[in-house]
Amino acid sequence: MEEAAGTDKSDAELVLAARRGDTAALEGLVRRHYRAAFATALSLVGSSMDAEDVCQDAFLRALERLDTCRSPAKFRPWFLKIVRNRAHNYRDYQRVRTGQSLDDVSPACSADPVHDAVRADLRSQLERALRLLTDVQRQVLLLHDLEGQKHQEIADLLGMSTESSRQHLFVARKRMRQELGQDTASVYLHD
Amino acid sequence: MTDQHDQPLDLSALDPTAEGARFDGIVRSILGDAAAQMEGRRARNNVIGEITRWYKPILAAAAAAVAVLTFSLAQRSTSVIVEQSTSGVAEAIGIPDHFATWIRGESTPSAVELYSLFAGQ
Repeated sequence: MEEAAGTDKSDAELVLAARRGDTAALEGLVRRHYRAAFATALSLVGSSMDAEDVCQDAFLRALERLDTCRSPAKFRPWFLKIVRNRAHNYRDYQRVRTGQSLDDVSPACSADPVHDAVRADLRSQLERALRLLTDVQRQVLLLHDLEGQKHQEIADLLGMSTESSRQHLFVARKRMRQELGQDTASVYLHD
Repeated sequence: MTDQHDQPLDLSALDPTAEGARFDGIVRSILGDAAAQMEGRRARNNVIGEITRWYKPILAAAAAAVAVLTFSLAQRSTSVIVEQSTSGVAEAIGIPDHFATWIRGESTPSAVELYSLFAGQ
């Protein structure tokens, strides 16, 4: 894996540098916020491949509008709103960007094909179970359990109370475990 | 008692950053699509940088020019005022020369002078 760019800099510094055309700064923003963007997009479009397309589209859109980001230190919530808008558009119109397709990015291929196959199977099961949740439950679950955001951040982002966020998370986990089955669920539980 | 649903689900199979090489490919793809935009930003930044570099000297020169111009205009208007004061306000508003001379002077006109002035008119 390539060395992460700009990891020692704040979001504000990276945004200001990216505005000046600093590609390393843009790379830093992409690496830092990709997972949150992916979690948000996946919660709305339902499949990993579509979520990746939405993320790519959202990063390009954000770059176009970077000068309108009034508080560079609050880049993440500003950017995640763009992701959500793009995901809604994607879902509503199934319309994708015209740039390089992520289909060109090679599929997962590690030295261990068994690991790859198991991982692909797990991903498929999880995506299927996620589709049974409501939009809000999916968003809360992915932002919390995949991205690691706190309830306060999720509440701010989704415009709800922290208590609502907790309740949605509880219900979402319960529903996921029921869907995945007890045997499978044990695989997904952290020790 | 801790409910099992208080425990997080392991969603790492969905984590796009977990597969390093693939994630690097995703990042490269985004940066590739953004390349033209970034090039435009660099070019624009260079123009703004040039303007910024020349901004201060040009501003200083403009300020100096304004100062010189203001000073010379001030000098000129002062000399005009001095010239005007020699001809006097009385002439400027149409009072005859004799009156004007008396007004400026400290001596009072004699009766003969007054008679000759009005008789002359």
